[in-house]
Formats: sequence, structure tokens, C-alpha cells
Amino acid sequence: MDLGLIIYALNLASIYALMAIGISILWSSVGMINMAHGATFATSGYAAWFVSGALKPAIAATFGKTVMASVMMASVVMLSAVLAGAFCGAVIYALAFLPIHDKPNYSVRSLIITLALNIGVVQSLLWYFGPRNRGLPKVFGFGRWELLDTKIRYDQAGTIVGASLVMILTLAWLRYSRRGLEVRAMMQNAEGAAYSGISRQATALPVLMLTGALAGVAAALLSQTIFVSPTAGVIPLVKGLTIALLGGLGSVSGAVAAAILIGFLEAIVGVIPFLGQRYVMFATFSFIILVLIFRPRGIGGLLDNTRE
Amino acid sequence: MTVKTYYKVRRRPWEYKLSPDGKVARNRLRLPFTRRHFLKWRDAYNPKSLKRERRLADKKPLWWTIGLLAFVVVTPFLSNSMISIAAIFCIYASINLLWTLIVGTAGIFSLATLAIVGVSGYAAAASNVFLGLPWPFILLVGPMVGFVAGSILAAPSTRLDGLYYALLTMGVAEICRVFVTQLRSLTQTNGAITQVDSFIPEDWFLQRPGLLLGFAGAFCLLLGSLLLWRLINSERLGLLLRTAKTGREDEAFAEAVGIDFRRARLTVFVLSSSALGLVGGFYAMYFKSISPNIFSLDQLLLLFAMMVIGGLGRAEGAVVGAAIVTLIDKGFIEIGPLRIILVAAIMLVVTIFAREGLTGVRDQFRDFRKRKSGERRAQRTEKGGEAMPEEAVEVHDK
Repeated sequence: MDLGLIIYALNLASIYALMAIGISILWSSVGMINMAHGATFATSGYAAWFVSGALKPAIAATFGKTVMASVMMASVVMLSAVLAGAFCGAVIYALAFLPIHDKPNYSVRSLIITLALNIGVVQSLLWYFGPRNRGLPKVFGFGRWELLDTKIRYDQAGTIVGASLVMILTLAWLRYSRRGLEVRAMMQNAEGAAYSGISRQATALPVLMLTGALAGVAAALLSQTIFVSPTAGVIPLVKGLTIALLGGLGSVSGAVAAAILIGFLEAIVGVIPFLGQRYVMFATFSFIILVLIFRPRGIGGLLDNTRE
Repeated sequence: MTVKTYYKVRRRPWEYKLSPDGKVARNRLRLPFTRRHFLKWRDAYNPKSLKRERRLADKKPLWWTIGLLAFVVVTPFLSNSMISIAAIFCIYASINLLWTLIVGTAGIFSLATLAIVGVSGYAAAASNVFLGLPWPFILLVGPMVGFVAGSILAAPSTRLDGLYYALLTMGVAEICRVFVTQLRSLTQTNGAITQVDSFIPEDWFLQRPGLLLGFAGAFCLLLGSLLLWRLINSERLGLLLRTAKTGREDEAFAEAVGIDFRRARLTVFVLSSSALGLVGGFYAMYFKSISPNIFSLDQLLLLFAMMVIGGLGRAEGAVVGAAIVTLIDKGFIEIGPLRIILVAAIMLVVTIFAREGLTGVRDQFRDFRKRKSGERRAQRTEKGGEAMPEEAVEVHDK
């Protein structure tokens, strides 16, 4: 296995981990399977494309062709994607959490509402923007490093570093902030958290906005490698869901481990000559089925058992 | 001086009641070889008029009969495109009914429904096209393959729970799709098997008599699925499963009284899978072809939308939802992607406001009305009065 393959695998893994962690945290704290994560992904990609396109002349006029201009461009892309993701999270909160969180069948109904949101948003994007792919401005610039005879593209390196940074920040927020403490309390025992005065409604909004922002970051990072399109969110959503489940829903470390496993598996299957890219999904799902047969609650999923 | 208002308390004054002769002994029809009655008639004496009153306690069979009769009488007079939409509705409704049996009755959250339909459809079509079996055998091969596929898929369902099993079955569907598209012998047709023999004669295909014949077949399929639904749900198997329906406590209770609910679940799963296999064979015959499209996630989501709009776990929900979504999806093809947005919007609104889909709205409204009237009654019962709000319904004259 050469270094290029490892870099490629880590690149995939970091994007998947961003999606999977969002889904996992959301499930264990708010009790919602967010099927609208793919729509959030696609919407943030489009928002980044739209805002960067609109501000391009202004930035070019102010900074010219300096380093400052590309830094500004990069921050505009990332910021708009993150803000759009957080906004989508707030919309999901208003539609799929707030009206029904104290009503019967909450978990199934929220799943259905987010699924309907996903279908509706993807089709609306398709209808409004058309099926054409859009390229985002390169955040990390073009070019590559030579390291131990392998070429590492800037965008791959930037994705890995950026995603890891965002994940560390998220985990630190969960670990050290007051809000994070409340979220963790809800993850451990929702009822106990309610008894000790933690409001479910007040905690769900930041959690949903945070996971939306994570999807936004993932969108901005993945769009460095592929294009923005209305259906771009489908594969990250399916991958994120499968990895969150494989890691054991609610276990953040399990999700990261599963993301790395699946990233490497996909990278390796992609280069094996007689399998190739067409069998990537096939191999992923076969692997997942195998794991689930031996560990029915996923890799890190002993949580539910200990909870009872 | 305030005028005192009196409130009438009556039970179902709007309901139509028969007034049979109280002196004649009742003689009710029974289903042959069983002790079941056809309709749930209930007799009671009215305590005020002292007359005997007979009412239909369960009116669902009546609505089913009227609805299905109207459907089958009206459809032959519609246009050609509407007849084919009606036939597709019948196919989707039967798939939905069988899926509801798996999800609702057996409580196994399987997403491989269309995969089973697809696999058995492919096997049946292949047996016809490549092995040369005549078309009636398609209706035999389909259920057999469905049985085998169901048995294989059912094995892990007792070990995994809920979402994990859903993930596994989604994986199985994806594996089927990749497998079929990669088959060498089908590469010329993009993985589809075409030119399948059918119960519709070759020169009638897409002509009016052919469409009518196809609709008749699809309608029989729907009736068959309804019968299977009824047989499973109202017989012993359904009773066993209802005991272990919700939550861990019920399962523990069922186990304690000696019900092997896992076995019952597997039985229902395998039975519905075999029926899904039959639907798969019928699907291949009706369209005279079958394509990998049947394994796609979009198709599955469309079916899921049908079940959700109608109401998860109810037979009438599966059928009503299929009618609504099929009409929008196939009837308004000219508005393009807007129709999917429309389906998503309906799904969203229905799920936000309705507890159990459109067919559950009536019960939900009754609960709401009961709660409100209880609140109002509690407000106007004076303190120290003789009637407590809970007892007020029992008092005849207030």
C-alpha cells in the first residue's frame, strides 16, 4: 500500500466522519434520525457556490490578485457553507422537532419528516438550478506536494487537516462548554437530563445547528474534489447513515473508527484491478452486513445495552 | 335571573340503526367451516324506548366493498392511460400491503421489499426468456424464489433490531442492483430482461383489451393481497403477534405466556416474501420486462411515501396512500419534478399534523373531541355537584 492510497482513504474517511458524527450525535441526544442531512449538504454547497460567485467581483476589486484575495475567497466559501448548514439545521428544528417532539411516534415521524424534507429540497434544487454541476473556487489552491515520492494534492491535505480540526473543535465544545455538558447529559440519559433541568427544546436547536454546520463543512470540503450538484448529498447521506450505524448509533468514537475503516476499504477496493470503482458500494455493504452479523449493534454499540 | 341551560348527553345520535323484531331469534350467517360471522352486527335494547336496535359495530368491510366495487366498475370506462395507472396502482397497493404486513404486523423494519420483488421478478423472467418455461410457470417460479429470498433475509432479523436490520436490508438491495447491472448476458439491455411472455397476448399489448386484461389481473393481485392481510391479521398468527407488539415488556410478557413470537414473525415475513415473489412475477409479466430500476432507492422511497401518507401499519392506509401517490406520480407526468416535490410536501404536512397518516385522522379527531368535551364538562360541573365529570356520561338525565 502506497502513501497516495492512504491519503485518498483518509480524505474519504474525514468527509464520511463529518457526516456520520453529525448523524450519531443527533440520534443520541435528540432521538432523531436526520434523513435531511443530504439536503443540508447539497444546500450548503449551493450556498457556497452562490455567495462566492456573487462576492467574486467585490473581492477582486478590493484585493486584486494578492494572497489576501484567495484567503478572503476561502473564508467566504467556508463561512457561507457553514452558515447555510446551520440555517438548514434550524429549519429542520422548526419542522421536524418543534411541532412533534412531545407527540406520539416522535422518532418515526421525525424520520419521515426529514426524509420528506430531503426529497423536497433535492428536487427543488434540481428544478431551480438544473442538473448541471457547479465548481466551487478552490479553497486550498491548486498544486501538490512531493512527499516520499508521492504527490499529495493541496485539496486532499486541506480536507484531512480541516476535517480533523473541525472534529476536534466539536468534541472540545462537547467536552468543555456548558451547552456541551447539557448535550452529553442528554446523550447519556434523556429523562435524567430533563429531571435536572436541562430543556430538551433549548438544547435541540444548537445540536441541530451544529450538525447542520458539520454537514456544511463536509460539503465545502468535498466540493474541492467533486462538483456541487442537487443530488450530491445522496451518497454522503447514505454513507454517513451507514457509517453512523456501523459505528453503533450514539457512539462518536465508533463512528470515527467506522469512517476510517470504510474509507480505507473503499480506497483499496477502488484500486484492485478486477473490482474497481463499480464494486465500491457492493464491497461496503457486504462488509457492513458481515460486521452486523458478528456485532449486531455496530462497532461501538454497547451503549444501548449498558443504558438498560 | 340567569337562564339555566341543559345539555343533552346521548351516545351516537347520528348513527343509523336497524330496528329488528325483538321476538324473533337471531340467525346470523357464518363463514363456511368457521365460527366467524360476515359482519359485526350488535343488538341492544334502547332503555328509553324499550325497542330493540341493531347497529353495525364495524363498518370497515362495508367501506372496503363499496370502494373496491366502485373502483372496478368505473375503471373500464376511463381512458387508456388511466386504466394503466389503475393497474399500476393495484400492483403498488399490493406491494404496500405486503410490506405493511412485514413492518406493521411482524414488526420487522425491512427495506428489502422491492429487492425481493425484483429478485423473484428477475428469476421468473429469466426462467421464461432463457429457459423457455411457458408463462403460467412465472407465477410459480416467482413465489418460490420469494420464499427462498425471504427465508435467507429473515435469518438475521431476530438477531438485529430496528435500524440495524433496515441498514442490512438496504445493503442487500444495493448488492442486488449492482449484481444485476454487472451481469454479462444483460449488458446490451442495461441489465433489463425484455420480451417476457405474458398472460396478455402479444398483439394486445398496450391496446385497450390488453390494458383491460392487465388491469383485471392486477386487481385480482390486489384482492389476493387483501385476503392474505385479512387471513394473517384476524387469525391466530395476528393474535400472537399483537400480544408481542410494542416494546420489550410486551415481548417478555408474550414469552412468559408461552408465545414464540420470533417464530410467528418469521412466518409472517416468509409468507409475505412469497407473496411479494408472486407480485414480482406479475410485475415482469405486466410490463413484459424488468429493469434494475426496481432496486433503486428512489422507487423504495416512493413506496415508503405511499405507506406514510396513508398511515403506517394499516391496510386502508397502504391502499389510500398508493392511490394518492400513484395518481400524482403517473397522472401528472407533464409537470416534471414538481410532482415529487408535491408528494414530499403532502408527506411533510400529513406527518406533522396526523399521528398515523390520513386514515388515522378520524380516530385522532375523535380523541381530540373527546378530550375537549371532557374538559368542557369538567368546567361546568359545579363543585359539590352530584356528577363527577368521569361519571357524567353514565347519567341519563342531568
